Amino acid sequence: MKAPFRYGLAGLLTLGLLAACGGEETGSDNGATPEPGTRFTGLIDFPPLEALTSAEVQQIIAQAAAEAIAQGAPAAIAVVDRVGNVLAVFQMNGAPAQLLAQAEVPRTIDQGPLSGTVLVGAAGSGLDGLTIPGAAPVGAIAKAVTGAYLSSGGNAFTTRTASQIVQENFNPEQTFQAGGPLFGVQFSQLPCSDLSTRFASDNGAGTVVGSTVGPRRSPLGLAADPGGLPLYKNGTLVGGIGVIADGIYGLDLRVTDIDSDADMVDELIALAGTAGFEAPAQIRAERITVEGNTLRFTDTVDDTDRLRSNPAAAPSFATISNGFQGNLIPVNGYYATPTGTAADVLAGVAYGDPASGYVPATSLAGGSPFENLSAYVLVDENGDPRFSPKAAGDAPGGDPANRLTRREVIALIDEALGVALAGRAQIRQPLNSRIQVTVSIVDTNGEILGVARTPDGPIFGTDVSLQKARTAMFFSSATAGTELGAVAGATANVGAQVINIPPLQDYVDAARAFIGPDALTGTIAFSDRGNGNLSRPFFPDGVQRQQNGTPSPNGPFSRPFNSPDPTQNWSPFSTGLQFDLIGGNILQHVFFILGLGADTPVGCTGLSARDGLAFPRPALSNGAQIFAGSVPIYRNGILIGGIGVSGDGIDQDDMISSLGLRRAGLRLGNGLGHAPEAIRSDTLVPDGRNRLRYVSCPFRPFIASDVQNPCQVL
Amino acid sequence: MRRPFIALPPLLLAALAASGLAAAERLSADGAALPAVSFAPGGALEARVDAGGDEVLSVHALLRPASSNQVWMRDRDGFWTEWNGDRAALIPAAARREGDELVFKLFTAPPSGVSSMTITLAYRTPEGLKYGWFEAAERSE
Repeated sequence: MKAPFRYGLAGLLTLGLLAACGGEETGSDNGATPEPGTRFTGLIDFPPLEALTSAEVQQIIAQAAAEAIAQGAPAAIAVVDRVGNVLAVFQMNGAPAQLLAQAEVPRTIDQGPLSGTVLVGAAGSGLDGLTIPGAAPVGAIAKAVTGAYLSSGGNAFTTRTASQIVQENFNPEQTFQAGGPLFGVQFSQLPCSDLSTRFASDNGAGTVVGSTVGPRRSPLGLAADPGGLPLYKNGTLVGGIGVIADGIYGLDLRVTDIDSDADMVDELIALAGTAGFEAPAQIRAERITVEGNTLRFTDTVDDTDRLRSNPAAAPSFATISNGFQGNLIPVNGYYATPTGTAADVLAGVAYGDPASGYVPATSLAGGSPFENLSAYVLVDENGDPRFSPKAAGDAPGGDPANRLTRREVIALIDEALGVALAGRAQIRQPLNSRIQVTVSIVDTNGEILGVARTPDGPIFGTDVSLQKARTAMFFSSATAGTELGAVAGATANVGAQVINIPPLQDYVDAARAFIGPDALTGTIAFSDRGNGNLSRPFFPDGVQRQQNGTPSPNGPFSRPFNSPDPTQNWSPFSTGLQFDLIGGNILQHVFFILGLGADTPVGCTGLSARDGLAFPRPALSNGAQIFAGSVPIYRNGILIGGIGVSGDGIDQDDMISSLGLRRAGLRLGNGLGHAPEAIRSDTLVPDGRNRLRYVSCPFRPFIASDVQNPCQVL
Repeated sequence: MRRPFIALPPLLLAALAASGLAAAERLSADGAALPAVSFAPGGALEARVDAGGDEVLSVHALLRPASSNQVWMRDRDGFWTEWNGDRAALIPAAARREGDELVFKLFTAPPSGVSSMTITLAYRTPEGLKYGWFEAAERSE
């Protein structure tokens, strides 16, 4: 059995190594006197071009199925490649068909100041407690995507890792600790995203073709239900496997225990599937610390100690398919079985090949628009760039002259990538690896002006960086409150279950009661750090109870944690405004998968387009994100856009977005930069005691610089 | 016009056209979200707009591939060129007038590699621009 808390030793080792690597000072990386034009002049290794073959996917499924048989738990098994292409969905005979979105036991807080609180599992609170007939394979796909998307060549994370970092405290159950660092990431890669691509869809006028490249959307967003693992080949990330055997799409509320076999049967089956495709031991979550906590990979000591089968001796795929132990099954919008044979098991695409949707920018036909030679970009089916830097089409402050230019977008991305590659990664091994992230820039309509990344950033950061950029821009804008207030509430029926989504004016009212009557009118610049403070079930973040013993209030954008009506309570499946913006899109998409209607449109939320001629989609077209890593962009005090960063620790993401913006402004010298200090979210003290934050940066973050607090200059 | 937020009843969705907007739709100064359409594989796409008695000074058509942030505008000869976002820079397209309706021929075959897109139609009146947009995608059969 693994020791649950190893961070003491790991932390000491980290400190020792950091102390040993100091020394060289580089002027441009010295955040105390930031200079424009920060450049990382080295080259980061590009990930090798590796991909799963069809035979290997069959082997993975066969190994997983053998363990499922041994566990007496027939399962739905999905395998995807690194960019989310679904390579196979195998439904074993007798596997549960339905999917119950629900946290695993215990369902009631049984310790601490809120002992007795019914936390989750209440029908009517977002997706929590929702049973969806026929959706088990959908959950398996979401788990496979999560295993692939959260991982990279420097970190191997699982859905158990995800569970650890999305809850109300980090670690879960450690009261008075701030919420999980990736609080809210579960509602990313959404099926309505205008960045994540579709394999197939139905736009309401018939079944239509989708894109042939990634990154793909995920049917339910990212999963926190153990049983989704990454797959590696020769040490290179090539995909993920997801398993649903228990019919539950939940999470692990308690990281300090070891789940029983029955409680982690999904994970054991998935683990068997990874045999021969295991994550390298040195980069697994259990070798990575965040905020003093060691992350979890699985609940096993090693990959085989709790397996009841021998993956090496698993029957071949040919002997278990075609009804013998199960069948490949189609999933609307994700996977087709045109032949009904093993030929339907697809090979993956190699990340970095144009077919994956990601390439080095230097390989573009027209050359890279960026100075940074390590930049990767997204491409379409023809290998053409999808989000090549471009000028904005908006009119900030009523004047088109204020808009971001293409040159400025390029400078912002170059500076941000420069900061990233000069920095020390939080979530990558070995220690002193450089930070790998994605950077997105948007204008005040939410239009994508540019997206670029370092070579090996986790895929999830592509969509999330865009969510963050849009969220910082949107909540800092003058019309945010009006636009949110125009979205009516809704009720959806799923069988006998009722999902209630409140009118979004409720959140606007709550924000104005909490912050002040001019909240969401453009008078305050909200970074995603500040917005995140308002989106937690406790204010201040993680603090369940105030000094006088009364429960802390929830942030105005969050559901309450301990409402007298448990159907209103917060849970990872019902975060508050973030979920209520896109809950209808998820439900519509699930109905589409089940053959009950058209797909959700491209462009999330019920918000109206701000300027439909320039950008005919909502400003939050891939949903909102509520963990740190973005700031709004201003020019001479006028909001002109947002920059978002995702893929490493949240303090690193914060630093890259905020220093990237500052250094681009210094380089350009034309008024582009941060919000005036007087209007930043860290000027707000809503309860008279606790100040919101704007940006929090890591200590001594650069590999070749001794600077301790680079963000003091902001 | 508000976007649909919760799943629409399938019956409401069944009335959509197979190769263009089934009924001529009205555009508006604030922009109108129009019903989605699909078109045959490699096929043509045209759309009808009800000008409602407006004095039409010029017509315009924009195409945004679903997979990118590019925006193209159609000229009178049917060529697509990049639009920089400036309304003043919109070049006129061509549309056939049938009574109060404007019939836009958008393409005889979709642009290479573009199977899903957003089309924006617009016309200028003495009072200003009216416009609307819809999703168009190639059918899979």
